[in-house]
Amino acid sequence: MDTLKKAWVTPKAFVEEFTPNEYISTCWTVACAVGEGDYGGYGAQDNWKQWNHQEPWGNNHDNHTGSCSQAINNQFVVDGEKVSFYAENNDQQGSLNGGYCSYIDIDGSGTISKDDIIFWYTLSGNKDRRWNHYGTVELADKSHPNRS
Amino acid sequence: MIMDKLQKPMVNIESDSNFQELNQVSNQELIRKLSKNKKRYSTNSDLLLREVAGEYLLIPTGSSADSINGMISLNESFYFIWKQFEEPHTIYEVIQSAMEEYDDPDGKIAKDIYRFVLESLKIGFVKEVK
Repeated sequence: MDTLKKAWVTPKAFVEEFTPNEYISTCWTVACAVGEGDYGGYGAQDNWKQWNHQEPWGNNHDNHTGSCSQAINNQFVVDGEKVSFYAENNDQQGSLNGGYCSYIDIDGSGTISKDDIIFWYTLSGNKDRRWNHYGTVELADKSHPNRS
Repeated sequence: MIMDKLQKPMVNIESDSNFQELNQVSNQELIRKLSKNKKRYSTNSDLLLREVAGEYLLIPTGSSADSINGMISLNESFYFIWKQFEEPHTIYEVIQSAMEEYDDPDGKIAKDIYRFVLESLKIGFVKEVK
């Protein structure tokens, strides 16, 4: 019966952009450990395998002593088994896009968890620079280890 | 809170001037043509559909998260179409489903769904299934 049907409205979608300086909750955090270019043996000598063989480029691509070295600035989204990098809240360049690449499952749990090593990258706004990051996973709230 | 208020329109097929030609075609003619089109389409699995507190959201993951800096808020019609295309369907099949669910006094459903697919193909929201 037509009277029971809902009214059709032209379909629309809108992007709700994240604010770059707020933290997206995951059950873990990670700070970049590269510092002044120490890729921990995962870099050139490993042919950048953990970053899908993509090497960094551009000015200062080995300088990781800034925002990325603080876990709160590296924002990831975890949805079930899917992990994606959301953005880096960079104090000099604003919100940097990038991507999650891989992780090493140190504890064999089959999912990203404390002490695992994860690999991600970020790009400058005009994509003329790429930074490859890695770091060791820490729990965001050690009193709630299973809250994810 | 992790999001700002609504920002920029992502898909707004109502005001898209690219579809002027489509507006010349009658609703019945369009449906007749689409009924013969056997191409099937499905949604991009990198975009996760969620209903949160009565709001419909697409959450970019994987490669789509590289290009979309946020979440995508949908109205109900968009949500309905998306749900249909989560499994491969022809445009005509989705039009039929929508007509069973929604009242269409102005004859907009067919054109809206056709435009949805054309626009979504451009931005990688849906893909043709071989």
